[in-house]
Parts: sequence; structure tokens; C-alpha cells
Amino acid sequence: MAWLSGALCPTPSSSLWNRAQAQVVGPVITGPGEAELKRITKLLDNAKTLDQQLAALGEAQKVLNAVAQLPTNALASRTKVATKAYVRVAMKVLEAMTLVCESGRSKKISLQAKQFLSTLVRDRNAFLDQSAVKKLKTRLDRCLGPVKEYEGTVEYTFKTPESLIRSKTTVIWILQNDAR
Amino acid sequence: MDVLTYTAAGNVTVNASEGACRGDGTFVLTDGVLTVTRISVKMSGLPVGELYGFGLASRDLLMMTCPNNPPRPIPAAVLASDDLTPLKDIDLLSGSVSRGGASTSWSFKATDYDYAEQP
Repeated sequence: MAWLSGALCPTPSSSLWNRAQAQVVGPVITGPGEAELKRITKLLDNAKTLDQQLAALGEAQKVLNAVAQLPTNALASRTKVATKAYVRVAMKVLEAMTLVCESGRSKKISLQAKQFLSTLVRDRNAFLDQSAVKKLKTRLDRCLGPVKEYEGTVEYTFKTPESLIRSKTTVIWILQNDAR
Repeated sequence: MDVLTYTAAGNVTVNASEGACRGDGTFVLTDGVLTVTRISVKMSGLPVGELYGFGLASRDLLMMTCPNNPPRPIPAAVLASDDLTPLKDIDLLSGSVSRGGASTSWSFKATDYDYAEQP
């Protein structure tokens, strides 16, 4: 597993990871979008090492985001194939990151995995195996432990025919017990 | 079944009307609790997963100003998420309930969160 820790800890790979994570919406493809989709599909299919997979994901995300802005669905079939390849590789990478989480070696990677999974669910949910996502989320939750602190807002409305109460609360919630 | 308990600290801004009376103000929270209940075994009527519920209050007083009548104080803030609600995601939770002519709605938005250090 040394390769994994080396690949996912702060090394040049981190910048690859950051690139993969960046929500880059590139310029709308003006050239042959189909060729770009074929290129990233091949890139994803051929990515064997973690570095290659992360680089391919970053590249594919740019192209998929750009294609999503095209005013035509002429590329729908090719986009579907590319998205399936993207999801397949993303799940492989997430599996590797989850193993790092379970080994207790890097909290940072574990949090990145959780964030990446959320983004994947948000953007590509229709292509995901829901059962696999649930299992991965459970494993990540288990190895990360409970959230220690939430910061946020609570908006509240209470209404009857005679009265109306609205409130907005800014609140920090702090964990008092740890069930682990 | 595990229950995680969180306490709350913060401020609540309230805007209230009752009949012709009006009042508003910002108050410090004096009480607050959030519970996240993790259910790993299927129980009758309850899904396997996580449920959350919260309650918040300020023991301060909100003065309601009423035309032709002296101001009258009411509790500044008492709010709660009625029944336990499934926890779907940790960054936005919401719910509502309607009962006996009164309706309540709430949203809980986590803008930031932090995990405990791993043992």
C-alpha cells in the first residue's frame, strides 16, 4: 500500500488531485466535441495507475462540463459512454481513497474522498450504482467518525391564523459525546 | 443504536406578529440541542439510517408592541424540529409540519463542518 500513500499524500500527485477536483468549466467546445469525448473515454479506459486515473478524471471533467453547455444533444450517446467511463474510474479512485481512510493514514484524503463522492452524486447520480455508493458512504462515515462541529443557520417559521413568527439563527453545534 | 448529542451556541433574530401586536429583536441562544440517532438495525416503523432532531431557545424576552395596549413580553425564541427527521445529507436538512391550524417549517443549513480527529 506504500504506492497509495505516496500517490495520495502531499506530493506532486496532490496537484493532480486538485486539478481533478477543480470545478473547471472550460470554454464551450467549438471544435469537434465528439472527438474530445472519444479522446477522454480512451484516456479514462487506459488509465491504470492512480496518477493516470486522477489526471484522466480532471481532463474528462473539463470536457464533460463543456459538452454539457452545448445547445444540442447530438452528442448524447457519446457523452453517455464518456460519463460511464468517468464514473467507473471515479469509483475506482474512491475505493483507493477509502482504503487510505480505513488504514487511518490520512484524514485529509478521507475528507477529500467524502467531498468527491458528494460531488459525484450531485453531478452524475443517474450513472451511479446506488448500492455501491451507499456502501462507500457507510465505509467513509465509519472511518471518519462523527462530525465534531457544524456551523450554519437555522431558519424557522411558525404560523397560525392569528400569528406569524419567523426567526433566523446562526449557530455552532458542538459534539458532546462520541459514540465510537 | 447510537445517539450523538450536540449543544448549540449562537444568536437568533426573531420577527413576530400576533393579532395587531408586533415585535422583533436579536437574542443570544441560551439552550440548544441537536441529536443524530444512528439506527443500524431495522426497527418497526423506522428506517435504517440516521435521524435528526433539534431544539433551540433563548430565555430572553421579546417585547410585543400592541396599539392601545401596553407592551407585553413573550419568550424570545423557542423553536424545534418537531419529529425526528431522516438525515439525508449533512449540509442541508429541512422539514415542515402542519397541525391543528398551525404550521411550522425549518431548514438547517451547515455551511461548514469538521470531523473529530481520528483515534
